[in-house]
Amino acid sequence: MNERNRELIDRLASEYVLGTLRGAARRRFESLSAKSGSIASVVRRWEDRFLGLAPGATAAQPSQRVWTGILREIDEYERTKPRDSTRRAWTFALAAGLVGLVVAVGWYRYMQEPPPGAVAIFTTTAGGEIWRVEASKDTTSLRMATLGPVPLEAGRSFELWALPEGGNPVSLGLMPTAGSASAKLTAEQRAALLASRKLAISLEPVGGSPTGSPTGPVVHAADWVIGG
Amino acid sequence: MSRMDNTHSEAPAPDEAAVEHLLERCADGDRAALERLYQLTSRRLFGVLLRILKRRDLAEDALQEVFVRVWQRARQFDAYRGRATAWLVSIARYRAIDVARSGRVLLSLDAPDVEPRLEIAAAPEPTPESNRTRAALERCLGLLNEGQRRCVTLAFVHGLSHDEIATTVGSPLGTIKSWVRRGLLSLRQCLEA
Repeated sequence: MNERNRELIDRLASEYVLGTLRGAARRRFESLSAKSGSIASVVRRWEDRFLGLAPGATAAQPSQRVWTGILREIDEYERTKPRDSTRRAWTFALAAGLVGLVVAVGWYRYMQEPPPGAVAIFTTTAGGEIWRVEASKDTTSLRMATLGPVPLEAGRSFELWALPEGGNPVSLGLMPTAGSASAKLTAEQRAALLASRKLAISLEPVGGSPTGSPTGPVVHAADWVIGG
Repeated sequence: MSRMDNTHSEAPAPDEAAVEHLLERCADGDRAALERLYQLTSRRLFGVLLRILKRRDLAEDALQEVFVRVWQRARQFDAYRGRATAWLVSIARYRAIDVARSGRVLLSLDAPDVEPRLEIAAAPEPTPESNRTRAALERCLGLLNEGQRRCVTLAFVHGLSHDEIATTVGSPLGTIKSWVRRGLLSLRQCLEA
């Protein structure tokens, strides 16, 4: 890192910690800092400098639903987290001499459940995954999940479109910028999805396209893979 | 979980070593440790979130998300050893800023409420070291000019963006950006002198 870079990193880190670095710049800096130990340590130094301001004198009692919600979400997280538990299950299966087709098939089905009817993964040009879109087996609902930082410009929304072959794009709703979202599909959306081989995401004013057709640039497109 | 005491308005000051120990146990998947951590720190973190998000429902959603992240990332806590509170508060503040960013909330800026007051918190367990840090921050903020100090406080404590500060303070965006930048530079110089 040369001197100019060092100053720039320091400035970005300070505004990141302060909170005034926003939008796409904030996302970019966040992923930079996740990859670079030296940038992360500049961030930590700024967090330390401000620590005296942070806890504040005010405290407040959250309602009981927060704790129940936490338990529910970590249950879900532990259930779907593949790595450690998978390895342990395999180790156990090996030790018990149960490595047979039945176990393998059973495990495979467990890992696959519930099988989506169709799926699209949106990536950056660099290959980083941003969103996964899945339709239920009967194509009555859609689930959109963020997989990585979403480079959202302030004052814009990302809108998802089905691109039915030989027809006009049909809006499937707004993409979440964090976490995930689900939506029930109308008959029109369902028909459009079943006739699509690709999905697209356009950049629209907050709240989505005012016209019902894409008005902003298409920033992402992905294959819509319909499963069997 | 056990019923939580609802009568005190001041947050109990969690002791840094206890918080750190609980985080280590969370990394091993110990849920009782997470529950204890929640009892010790949720009210303070909720206070931090409320100041930025202003709405209880949003702040509660954010608090839930914060503890889920703490659980998921407890293994990454190592880099923050000795700074458990800084780690928790940072996760909470960044979450609140992201929620405010995603356009789900328009901050309700009722003017008297956001008049910036410097709330310099006592460290959980005051030590000569933490007292020194706190006094230094107080002194250095005092050296900023009025505009710079307001900007830094509004941004840090209330999570306002450049635009929102400009609206609140009634100064042009360019002025705000340069106050923020110079304020941060002076703070760094002063704190490192």
